[in-house]
Amino acid sequence: MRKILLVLIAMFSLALVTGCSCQTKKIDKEFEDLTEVVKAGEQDGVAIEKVQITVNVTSGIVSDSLTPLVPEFEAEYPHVGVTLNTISGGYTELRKTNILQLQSNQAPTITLGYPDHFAEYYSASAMINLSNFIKGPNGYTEEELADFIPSYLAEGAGFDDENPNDYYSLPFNKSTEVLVYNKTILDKAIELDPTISVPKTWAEVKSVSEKLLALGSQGKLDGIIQVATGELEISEHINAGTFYTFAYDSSANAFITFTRQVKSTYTERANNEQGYLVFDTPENVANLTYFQNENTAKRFAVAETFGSNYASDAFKRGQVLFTVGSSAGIKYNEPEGNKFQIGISTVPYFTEDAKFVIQQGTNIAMLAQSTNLERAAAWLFIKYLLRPENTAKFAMASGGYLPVRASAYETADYQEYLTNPPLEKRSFSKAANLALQYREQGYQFFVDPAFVGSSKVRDEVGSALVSIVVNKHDVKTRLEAAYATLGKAYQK
Amino acid sequence: MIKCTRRIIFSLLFLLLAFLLVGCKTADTIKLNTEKESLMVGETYQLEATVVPEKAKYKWESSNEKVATVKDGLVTAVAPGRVTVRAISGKLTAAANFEIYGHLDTGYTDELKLTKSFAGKSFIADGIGEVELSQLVDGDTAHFRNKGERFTFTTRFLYINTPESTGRIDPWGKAASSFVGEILRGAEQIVLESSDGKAAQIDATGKRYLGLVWYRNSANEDFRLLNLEIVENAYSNYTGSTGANDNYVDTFIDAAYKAGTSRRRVFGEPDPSFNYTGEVIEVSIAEIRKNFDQYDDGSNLLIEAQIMRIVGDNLYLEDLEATDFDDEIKKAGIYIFSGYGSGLGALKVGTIVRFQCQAVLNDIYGMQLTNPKQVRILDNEDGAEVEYTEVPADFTSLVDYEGYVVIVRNVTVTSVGTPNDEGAYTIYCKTEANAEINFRIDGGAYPKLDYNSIQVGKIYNGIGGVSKFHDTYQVMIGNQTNGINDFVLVSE
Repeated sequence: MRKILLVLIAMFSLALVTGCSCQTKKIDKEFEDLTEVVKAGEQDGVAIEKVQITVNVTSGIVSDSLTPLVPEFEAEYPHVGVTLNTISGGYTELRKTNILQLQSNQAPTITLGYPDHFAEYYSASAMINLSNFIKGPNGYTEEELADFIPSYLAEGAGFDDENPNDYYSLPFNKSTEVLVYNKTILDKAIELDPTISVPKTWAEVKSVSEKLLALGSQGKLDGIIQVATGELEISEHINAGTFYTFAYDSSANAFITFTRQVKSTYTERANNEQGYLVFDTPENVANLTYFQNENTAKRFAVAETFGSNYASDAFKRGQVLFTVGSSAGIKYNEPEGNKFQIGISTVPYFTEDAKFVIQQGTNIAMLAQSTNLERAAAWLFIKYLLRPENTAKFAMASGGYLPVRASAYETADYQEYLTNPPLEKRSFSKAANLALQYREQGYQFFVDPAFVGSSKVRDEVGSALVSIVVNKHDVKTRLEAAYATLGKAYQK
Repeated sequence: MIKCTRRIIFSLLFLLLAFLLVGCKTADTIKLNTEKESLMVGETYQLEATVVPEKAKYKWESSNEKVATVKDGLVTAVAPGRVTVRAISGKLTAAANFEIYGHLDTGYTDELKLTKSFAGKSFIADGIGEVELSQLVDGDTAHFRNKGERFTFTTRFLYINTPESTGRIDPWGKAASSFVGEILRGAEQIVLESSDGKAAQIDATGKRYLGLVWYRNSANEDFRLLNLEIVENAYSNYTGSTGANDNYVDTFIDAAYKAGTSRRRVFGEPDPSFNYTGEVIEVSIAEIRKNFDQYDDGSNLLIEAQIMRIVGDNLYLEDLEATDFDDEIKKAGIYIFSGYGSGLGALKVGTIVRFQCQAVLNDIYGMQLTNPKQVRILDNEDGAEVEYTEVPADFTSLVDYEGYVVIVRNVTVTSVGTPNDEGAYTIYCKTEANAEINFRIDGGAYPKLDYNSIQVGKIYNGIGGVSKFHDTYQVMIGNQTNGINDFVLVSE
C-alpha cells in the first residue's frame, strides 16, 4: 500500500513539474552529420532550438563583404543564427584571438585563416575534418568539388598523414600578386623611346629600367605629374639616389617567389608539424646577389628601401614606376585626384618554364569546440558562402579577391564585373582579368608549404631579403644566419 | 488504519484525476505579447499569454534559466545571452525571444592611473607629452598638436578599432565618434603616451602615430585612459598589442572580456540609430538635405547627380532637376567623400553619374555623402560646362551655399597660408563688402592651384565648393585639371 502511495505521490509531483531545460555548452567528441536536422529544424519530430554559430573574421574589407551574405543565409536557413566576430589587426590578430579562445574553450565555430594557422590548430586537435561533410548528404558531388580552382582547393588537404586527401579547410578569399605600373609616365616614356614596354621578364625589367633611368636623369620624365610641395621631380630623385624603377611590396613574397622562379627550393614539408629549411642553395645565393646588384643599380627595391611596410607610398609619389603587390591591395596604389593613371600587368619571371606567381589569401575552416548541430549549421553556412554566385558576390564586393570556383567566373554578374565594372572597381576588375590571364598564359600559382612554424620561416626570409637588398649584407652569410636564427628544429 | 489509507489513496487518485483532466484541457490557440525583444540584466518583463479557450492550461518555460527565468510569465533577465521563453499548452507553443544584455562599467579605467611624468616632454620624441585636440576624425583617430604649438599630427588610438563613421557608416560608428568627441572636447588636459615608453611609433599607413590617450576634466582629477574607457563602454574590442614591452595589455584584455560578456554595442547589440535593412533608397540631394535625419542612419542611398567640382577623389554634386528646396525651385548641392583609392578623381566636371552612398553629418564638415559604390557614368563622360551659383557681392555668410559650387567675384587676397606636408594651404580674402572669405586648397587635390601664383593684394574671381569647417564655411578649390582655373586674376 505504501508503495502505491509513494508512486502516486511521485506521479503527482512529476505532473506538477514542468520541464526545465537548462542548457550547458557542450562539445561533441564523435562526429555526426546533422545537416538534415538543421535544415528541417527538428530532430526525431521535436523542434530544435535555433542553432547559433560564430565566425571569426578580420575586420575591414572581408567582414564588410561578408556581412550582407549573413541575413540572406539566415533567411534560407531559418534555424541557424550567425554571429560574425570581426577582429581588428589583420590575420595575425585573428590567429592570436583564435588561440586565446581555443585555450579558454570559447573558440568560434568557423574561422578564416592561412594554412599555417590551420596547421597549428590541427596540431592541437582543434579542427573538424570537412571531408565528413563533403561526403555527406549535404556535401559536394565530384563535379562540384572539381569546380573549385584546384590550386586553391589543394591548400585545404594534407593535414592528416593517414588521410592526406581529407580537407580541413576550403578556399575562401584568394588573391595573387600583380605588377602595377605608372601608366602616365610609361606612356610618355614610350613616346620618347618606342623600344620601352611593360616588362614581362626580369631581363626586360633590367633593360626597360636602364632606359627609364636614362630618360629620367635627362629630366625627360619631369613635369608629367605634378609633384607636391616638398616632393621631388624624377630627375631630382635620381640625383638624390632615391629613385628606383621597380619595388616589391612584400619582401617575404619576393624571396619565396624568386626561389621558385630560379627552380630552386625554399622549405621542405615533412608533415603538419615539421618542415625543413632548404633555401641556402647556390641558385638562390646567385639570384639574391643579382637582386642585390640590381638594387645598387636602382633597378630593384623593396618597401623597406623607403622605410615603409609597402612600396605604394613611394609609387604614388612617383619615386617608383613599377611595383608588385597583392591584387587585393591595388587601391593603395591609386593616387588621389587625377595625378596619374595606373596600369596592371603580370609579375616578371626569368624563364618561360618557371612563370611562378604566388597564390595568397585565406581559407575557411571549422573548429572543433562545438556540437554536431553547430558543426552542421557551420557546414551549411560554409557551403552557402562557397556557392558560385556567392563567391562571385564576395569577390566583387571585396574588390581584389577572386572567386574560388570556376563556374563563378561564368555568372552574369561576374562577367559584367570583368567587362563593365563600376568606376570605383575598375582597378580590381583589371586585376581579376589579369588573374584569368595568368591561367591562360601558362603561369603557375604556388603556395609556400604550410606546417607548424612555417610563418616564422616566411618572416625570417623576408627580413633576410631586406638585409641583403637594403643593408647589402653578404648573401651567403645572411642565409646561414637565417638558418641559425630559426634554429635546429627546422634543419634536417 | 486501512480505511484511513484507502481514503488517502482515493483522495490522491481523485486529485490526480482532477489535475490530469484540467491539465489535459489544452489550448486551441496560444499567443504572446512579444513587443519587447531585449532586456538588461536584472530587468523584468511581464509576458501575457492569450489562449483560446480562455481556461485552457499552459505552462511557462525558459530555454536557458541561466540567462533568464520565467514565472507566471514574468521574465527576469539573469545574465547576458539569448533566451527563448515559451508558453506551452499541449503541443502548441508560443515563443518570445529575448536578447539579454549586461551592464557596462568603467572599473578598470577608474582604477588605472597615469604614473609617468609628462612635464616638458614630447609625445613624438619622448613617448609622452601633453597635447591639445585639433580635430576629431572618428572614434579611434584624432588630430592633436603639442601644447602651445601649431604643428598638428594624427594619432590612431592604440589597442582599439571603433566602427567607421567617416568613409563609411557602420553600426555604432557615429555613437563611438560622439562618445569620444564629447570626452576630448570637454577635457581640460590631454596627454598622449606611446605603447612602450619610447618615441611614438608610426602605424602601417605611415601617416599616423600610435598612442594611448589620457585625459582629465580638471586639475583635481586623475587622468583616465580613453582607449580603455572606449573598450569598457563596448565601442571597441581590444585589438592587440604592438610590441613586447607594451603596457596595460593585460588590463585591456580583461576589460575587453568583461565588455564582451555584456554583449553590448559592438559585442552584439543592434545600433538603434542604424538602418540594417540594406534596401536601396532612390532619393534626390534636395530630399536628403531637407530631411537629413531620415537618411543619416547608414541607409543605402541611390543618387543621380552632376559633378560640379572634383577635389582629389571627392566630388561636389548637384541635382539634375530643380525642385522645391529652401523655399525656392532650385537644385541642391552636396559634397561626397570617397576615401582613398576610389579612382573617382579621374572623372570630369559636368559628367552625370549614378551611385549608391550613405549620408553622414560630420561635426566639422557638416552634411556630407560618403562611401560611393556602384558608380556609373550616365552622360557627359568627357565633361560638360556647368553653371555655378553666384554669390552676391554683399553676402555676409556662406551658410546658405553649403554643398554648392559657387563663384565669388572680386575678392582681394589678404594673405596666403604656408602649405603643410601634403601641400594643403588656405588663401585668406576679403570681398568688396569687406566680408572675410577663405579659399582652401586640399592636400588631396590634384593638380593643385599653384601656391606660388597667388599674389597678396590682388583681386581674383574664385570658384569652388562650399563646405563647413568647424564653425565657419570655406570654399574648396578643386583639381585644376582639363583646363580648369578656379582662381583667376581679374585686376592688378
